[in-house]
Amino acid sequence: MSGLLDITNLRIDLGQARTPVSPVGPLDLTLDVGECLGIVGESGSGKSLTLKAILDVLPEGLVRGAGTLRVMEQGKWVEPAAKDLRGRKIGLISQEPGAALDPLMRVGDLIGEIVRLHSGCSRAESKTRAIDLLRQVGVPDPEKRATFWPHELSGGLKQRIVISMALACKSEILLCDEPTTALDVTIQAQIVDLLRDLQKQHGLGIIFVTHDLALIRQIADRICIMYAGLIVETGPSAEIFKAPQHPYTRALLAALPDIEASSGNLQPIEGTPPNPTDFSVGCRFAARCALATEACRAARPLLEKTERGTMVACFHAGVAP
Amino acid sequence: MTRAAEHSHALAPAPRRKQRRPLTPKLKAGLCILGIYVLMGVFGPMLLPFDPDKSDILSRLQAPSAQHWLGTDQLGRDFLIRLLFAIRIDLPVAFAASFVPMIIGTALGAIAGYYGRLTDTIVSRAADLVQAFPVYVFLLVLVFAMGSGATSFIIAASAIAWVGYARLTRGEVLRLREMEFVAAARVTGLPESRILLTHVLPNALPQTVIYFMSDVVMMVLVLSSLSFLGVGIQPPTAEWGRMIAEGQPFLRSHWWLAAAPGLMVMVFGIGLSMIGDGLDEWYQK
Amino acid sequence: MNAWLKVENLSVDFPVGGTRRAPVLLRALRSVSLEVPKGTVFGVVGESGCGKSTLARVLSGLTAPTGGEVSLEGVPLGMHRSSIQRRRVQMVFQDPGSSLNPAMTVRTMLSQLLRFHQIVPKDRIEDRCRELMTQVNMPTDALDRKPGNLSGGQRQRIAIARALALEPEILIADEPTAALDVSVQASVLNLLQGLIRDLGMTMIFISHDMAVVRRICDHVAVMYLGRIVEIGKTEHVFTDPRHPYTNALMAAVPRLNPVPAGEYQMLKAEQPSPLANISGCAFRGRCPKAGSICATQNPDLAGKNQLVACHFPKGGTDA
Repeated sequence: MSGLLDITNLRIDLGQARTPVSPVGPLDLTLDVGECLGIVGESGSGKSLTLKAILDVLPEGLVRGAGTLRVMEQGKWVEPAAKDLRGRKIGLISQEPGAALDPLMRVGDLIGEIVRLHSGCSRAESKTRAIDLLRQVGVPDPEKRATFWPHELSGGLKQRIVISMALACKSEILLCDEPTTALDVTIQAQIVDLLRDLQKQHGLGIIFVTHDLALIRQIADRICIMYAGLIVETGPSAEIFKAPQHPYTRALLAALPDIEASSGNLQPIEGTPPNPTDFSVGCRFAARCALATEACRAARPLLEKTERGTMVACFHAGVAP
Repeated sequence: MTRAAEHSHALAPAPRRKQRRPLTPKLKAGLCILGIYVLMGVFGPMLLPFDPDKSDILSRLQAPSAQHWLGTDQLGRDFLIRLLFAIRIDLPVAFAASFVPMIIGTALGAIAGYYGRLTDTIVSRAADLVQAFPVYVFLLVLVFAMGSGATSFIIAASAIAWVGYARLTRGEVLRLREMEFVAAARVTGLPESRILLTHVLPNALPQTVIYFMSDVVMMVLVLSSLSFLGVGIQPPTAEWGRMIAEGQPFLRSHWWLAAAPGLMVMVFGIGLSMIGDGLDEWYQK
Repeated sequence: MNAWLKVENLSVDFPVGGTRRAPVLLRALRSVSLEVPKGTVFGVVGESGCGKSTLARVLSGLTAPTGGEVSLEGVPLGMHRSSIQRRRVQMVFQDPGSSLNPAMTVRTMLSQLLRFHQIVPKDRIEDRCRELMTQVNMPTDALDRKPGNLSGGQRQRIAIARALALEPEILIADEPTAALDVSVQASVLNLLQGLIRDLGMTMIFISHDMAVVRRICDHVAVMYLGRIVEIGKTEHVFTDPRHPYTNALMAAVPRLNPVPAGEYQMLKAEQPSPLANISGCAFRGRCPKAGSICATQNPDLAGKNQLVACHFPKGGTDA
């Protein structure tokens, strides 16, 4: 597979802290053409911030402290400014699709405008292209829906419109930030299906951020498990779910109710994740980890390759708990 | 699963920080100003060997000297002690003229917002009625009808100022009424009156207190204006607005006679505004 | 099932517009009937707008039904209840961030209830507050905290403690873990399960999360657009869903072990508006099995143990 996006040493810093505080990173991410990378973690793990850092749309008070971001452009790695990526090479699908839709424009005009901006075609042509795009993302009765206002659409349809806008931008990379969290489970399944189709048909690279392990299992080819701003385990999705190596990954799976099982204990994870201001020099999971030793508290384990083709940041990787 | 296997959840150290939030700089500065005024008002006049109301025509309009630090006014009274004595009038009257309507307005607004229907209609219409009159005209009429003086000023101000508190509280209560913790309190079977008093109102009060601070500033200005016009506090009692009016004829030769009380009003206003702003920041932290 | 808590033909309409003479009605519940045996956990699943939260609010006395009745041991439970009746049914809300009064410490909140309902003598209130904290696995110094100084999971424990303070017989849990992280969710679910067992309470568990419902509920009702479409023992409903909607829900749930293709059927369209007046079966627009009878006649719940409201249930009814 060929590369599409390559991020190294990405770090997000707290703006005006006296001592440097980095809620996220340093971390590396790569994405191939036609690949879906899943980033999974609990609230506060920094998974959404990572996406925002890629597009340089971090909330007030946070800055991208370090890191290089390269994208593949006609066979060559280039390092463009984030503003040249937004709405062009990279599209963003957020949890709240309503926020991405101008409430004062009809759906068809919204998409048509983007089509015109990117291809310079005529108004009439852009209209038919917009309807085409709506059909592509599975909007039923696209001619009629094109004349709707955003508020007249359900959450699922709005999310489809946002996806079609990314397609209109000819984005090659879709950043999905919990795109289905606000949707019902039957609609979520439809959107996930749609994303998979687009990934296959257009060779889209998708980074899919969610807190839902089962969902990430369904959609991602490769996953990163994030904890307290760092990637603790990454690798092919099937491998990680078959034999998770990091104690945190295992704990997450033990805490997750599975639709297939009606009994057995759910194991909660004791304690809470540390605050960025309280990050220690050691492993950030040590305080909640049953395997933690002095070594874990003294130094932070880095991601290392395992024989299964995954990477794990743990001194006790693979040790049965 | 055994219960013993379940862990007791230690409280996160993170939110432990400080149970009492530190005051913001603005709040500190504002409180300082208010504190200084109170101290000056209580102790200042005791330190000066003059009678603020006793005139001495022979020593009128003296320039500042070692004996009279700010000189004397047109009736030969020590100007500094009058300036300080006025604190004892302006502050309590302004606070009272804001506090009474706060109680009335908050109560009416809370009832109107929480129970709605007829109570809301009555309170809202009454508020509209009061607001339909120009404030100063209404005040002047009321004070004129009741006769000048601190008490009638407080009554007149209350008759008008409750509207602001009522509108503010009604809005807050309308918002809070729909919150889930109110529904939760209903499920536990608490009577509506207790829910309003213990669950809804405490959450509306921060806004009220902030408003109160700006209202006190407003009341000092209104009181001074009325006294300036001659219908507020009556002579010979020292009051800033009255003093500005009395100093006016001597602006050319003795400018401080009008400027100093003006400055007192201004600094006091700034101090209270800072408390209001500071409280706002502090609550939102 | 022996009737203990009984819901009969419960309907709730909300006027959402129109005129006073001809209001537009949102029909949140349409003639819902169910029975909950004492000491069991009864699950209600469905997607947003199916009426499950409205059901919770009617049961807890927050919303008045337009028609039908809720009764406990034969005594009707309306919106106006005596304080003794109130105590019998308590509720845990979805978001503990908004269901707890931000201006009140935990101790003030709990002691207010203990005092008002005279649950313990005055000199025992402090002890009882401490006991409640222990029951929900919280340290006693949490009593001095306000909700703002507690984490999401801790807040939900406090909300559970508030419900327990009244020593209820029925606990209604409306998506109690939907706002929590999965690691915290597990501890809150374990806590609820333990409490139900130890205190012999009955729980109505409202959720959109099929996996959670499967884990903790004895019986389950699947709702769609204000109606129950399937109801029965959780094990039966989840392993052998008969209604096409239950089937589709099962298909849509993401799972760690992918299921073989063809076992469940995905849904194509979206749920119609609850404002729309649909003739016949409300699900027919999305149903892969819909026939002509579905357009004219609304199917009734039928069956003996696993009731299903469908003209063409998978494997027929069990009656």
